[in-house]
Amino acid sequence: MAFSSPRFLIFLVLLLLVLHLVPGRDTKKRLLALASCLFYAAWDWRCLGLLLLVSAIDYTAAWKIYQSESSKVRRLWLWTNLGSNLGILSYFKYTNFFLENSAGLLREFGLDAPVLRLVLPAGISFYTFKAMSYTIDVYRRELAPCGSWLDYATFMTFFPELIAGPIVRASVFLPQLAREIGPTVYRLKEGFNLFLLGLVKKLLVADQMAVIADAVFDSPGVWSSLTVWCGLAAYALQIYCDFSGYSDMAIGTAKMIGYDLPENFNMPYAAASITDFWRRWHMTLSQWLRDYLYIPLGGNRGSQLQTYRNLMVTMLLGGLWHGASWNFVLWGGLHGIALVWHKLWVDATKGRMIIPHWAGWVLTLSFVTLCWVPFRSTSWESTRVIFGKLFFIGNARGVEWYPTWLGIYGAVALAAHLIGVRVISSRRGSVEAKPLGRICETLGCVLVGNAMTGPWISIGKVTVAGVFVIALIMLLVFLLAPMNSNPFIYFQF
Amino acid sequence: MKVISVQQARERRSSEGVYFRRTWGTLLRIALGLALALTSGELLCRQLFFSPSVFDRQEGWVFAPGATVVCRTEGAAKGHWDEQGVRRSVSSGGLNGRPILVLGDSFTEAIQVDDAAVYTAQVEQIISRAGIPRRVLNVAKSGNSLADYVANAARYRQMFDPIWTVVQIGDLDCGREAWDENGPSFMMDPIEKSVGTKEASYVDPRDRGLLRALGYEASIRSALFAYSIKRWQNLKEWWLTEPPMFNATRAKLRGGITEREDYPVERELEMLVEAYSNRLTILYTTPFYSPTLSQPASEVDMRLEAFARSKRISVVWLSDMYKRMAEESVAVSGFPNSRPFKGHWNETGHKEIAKLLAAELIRIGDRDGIF
Repeated sequence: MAFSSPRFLIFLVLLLLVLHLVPGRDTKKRLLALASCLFYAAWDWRCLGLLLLVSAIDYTAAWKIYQSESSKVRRLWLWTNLGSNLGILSYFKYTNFFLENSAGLLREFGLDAPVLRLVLPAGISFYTFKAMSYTIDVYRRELAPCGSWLDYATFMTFFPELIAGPIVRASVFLPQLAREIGPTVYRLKEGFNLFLLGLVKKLLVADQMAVIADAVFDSPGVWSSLTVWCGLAAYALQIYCDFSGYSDMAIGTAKMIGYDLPENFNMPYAAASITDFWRRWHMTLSQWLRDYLYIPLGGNRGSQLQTYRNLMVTMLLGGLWHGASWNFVLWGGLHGIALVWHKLWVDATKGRMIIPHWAGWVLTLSFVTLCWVPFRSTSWESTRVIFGKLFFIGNARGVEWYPTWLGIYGAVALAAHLIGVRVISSRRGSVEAKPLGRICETLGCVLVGNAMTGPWISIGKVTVAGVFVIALIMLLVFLLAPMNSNPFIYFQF
Repeated sequence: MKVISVQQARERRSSEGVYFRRTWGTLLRIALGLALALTSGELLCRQLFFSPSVFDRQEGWVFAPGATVVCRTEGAAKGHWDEQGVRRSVSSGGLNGRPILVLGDSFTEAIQVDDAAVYTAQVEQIISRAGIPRRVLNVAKSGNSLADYVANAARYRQMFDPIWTVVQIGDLDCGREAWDENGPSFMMDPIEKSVGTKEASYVDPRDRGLLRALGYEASIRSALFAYSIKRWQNLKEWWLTEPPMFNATRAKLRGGITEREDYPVERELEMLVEAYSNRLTILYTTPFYSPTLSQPASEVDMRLEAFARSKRISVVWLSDMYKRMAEESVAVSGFPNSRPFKGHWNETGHKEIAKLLAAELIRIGDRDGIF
């Protein structure tokens, strides 16, 4: 069930009602775990078994690691667990990629590369990383293993973040299991605001931009160069609003239930350097890669060359995590090169601001936007054609299309960015705000802001402006949203 | 019984009064906020999509007499319709005699383009300059199919007395859509094994109870209400196409229409030709081409071609024009706020179609001398 579908909304309302009516913390947790399993099985019931298997392996391995005093045994259990998690992920996600790339070699021996008809279990990349972080934290003695299989199952199957993150660590989630869950007025208000914000981003912005981006990327050779630029800009807006919109809906849903999930985005398109971008974009993934890949590889503790190597390896694997395609590896590699280059730059300039902040912003946004080309393209050929069109190499002519919606959303995004950055930077953590300020904040938050700006309606007080904003947004979603099943982009990873 | 002091009683009455004021205050704020949102929504809908419609017992929902239709969801245009349901002419005058009637569906209704841009208005101008000063009446209605044109032929003759008729159809108009019982449709007589037409059984919403009657009144007065009804239909269709539970990875679209194996296309076309006394031109819209799509000719396309050749029926084929424009990378359909080569004809498409249709009418005029 996609979060933006009517079926999910009914599921959520029923779940909240049940959690409200049913007494007992443990009973609520069991019901939540059951609902999460039902949610996941709604995609494909076969995949639920795999999720539970992975959970059982991790739960057992963590306890074995914790109980053993021998470092050899502990390490053995850790590597067994990591091997099983990565093995399962690799089998479902990378087998065909490996076979396709080996096809040439196999043909030399007169063999045909087989093609396995594998279903990619939804969310496998996300829950695999979640599971690995748990066992690694237990191994590092940063976390005690979960005492209850029910609690661990609740953590692993928790549906709001199961399919497409945020990647929640056990150290963040497990302590929250001690609290009483279920909707309260406060949780509903906070959660609903975030959920609505995400829904707006997804239905009103991302899905509208998808029409443009899909048309351009699916047949890049057809369009003129300027139209391809429009398609790229549309995709940049689409992927941000789609993914951050999903994250907002996930965090909002979790809040309504009673759990707090970490933020995943912090105005990434406001970044003035590539390093800053990766501190703001898909934060839970970049933090995971930093803590479980980059630092274990050595981080920046070795020589400069070793640091750059570690950065490149992290980014290349990060790219590959997104999908079994050389396009994703290219995307990761480009970002890796940019990060290395930025590190060189900072070292050479000793951290001084040589270029103005706005220039850094323009350069970063331009680079990030161009890197979306391999990320979105369907093939190498398509990537080549698009880059050719973007830089007016070869045939720049084609069908001219200057989408109205892109112009509107682009202008609103720029205005919202300027307003949002001002409002957010001037706030002193205050919950209350004047109606106009709140509307500006909402506008800023919708496209480039994030959920950290607090509730729209102040707690305990209903205002005309607040009701107007919420009612108008819901009306706009109903009137303008494309009424079709447009899956979230990150569901495919 | 608990006894309270006078002071306590006063305090309780005071707090109850405060609670009462707070509750009503909150409700009033909610009502005001909602009213503002609904008003904004109404203003937005009137700018975005507003088609003042009324219910006609013979034709179902039609544009209200003298209606101005606003469409900015696809294209950006305002169209005008007169009391007889004819798209307003942009000619300055001097057109007399029996008119040329143009029938069609949403493609000819063309709410996405202004009155002057519709191909019927342009045909009127072109043939007038070529010495055929006849009015070209556009009575197209969205959702029409071949069955509608056959069923309404007598009524159109009585209302407009056309000298010639142009009928815009595509392959689906001869097939599935012409057998859809939600409007006038073809039907197969099981005993005679012949094809006949069946009148639509339109039920006036005002006769379906108080709630429907109130809904009717709201929909003809409020753009927001009318557009919301349309969106509600879209939402129901979306619900039907959601992937099946527990099997989304092997999803098939649910719903859909059961196709007959074979439509009596030739008999349908014969009925059309007879209904208009063989004084008609078919404006045929499929197969469609775009830079990314080369749609092969369907069975209906080929059967129409064979029929038209054998009966010497005037047909304007658009497929060559589509191909040519696709090769020149010019979109004949789609708008900046939709997508090129998808949806309805844009201004360029209407202009090209007008040229082709006008040329055919001039050729017929020269050949038969009827205009």
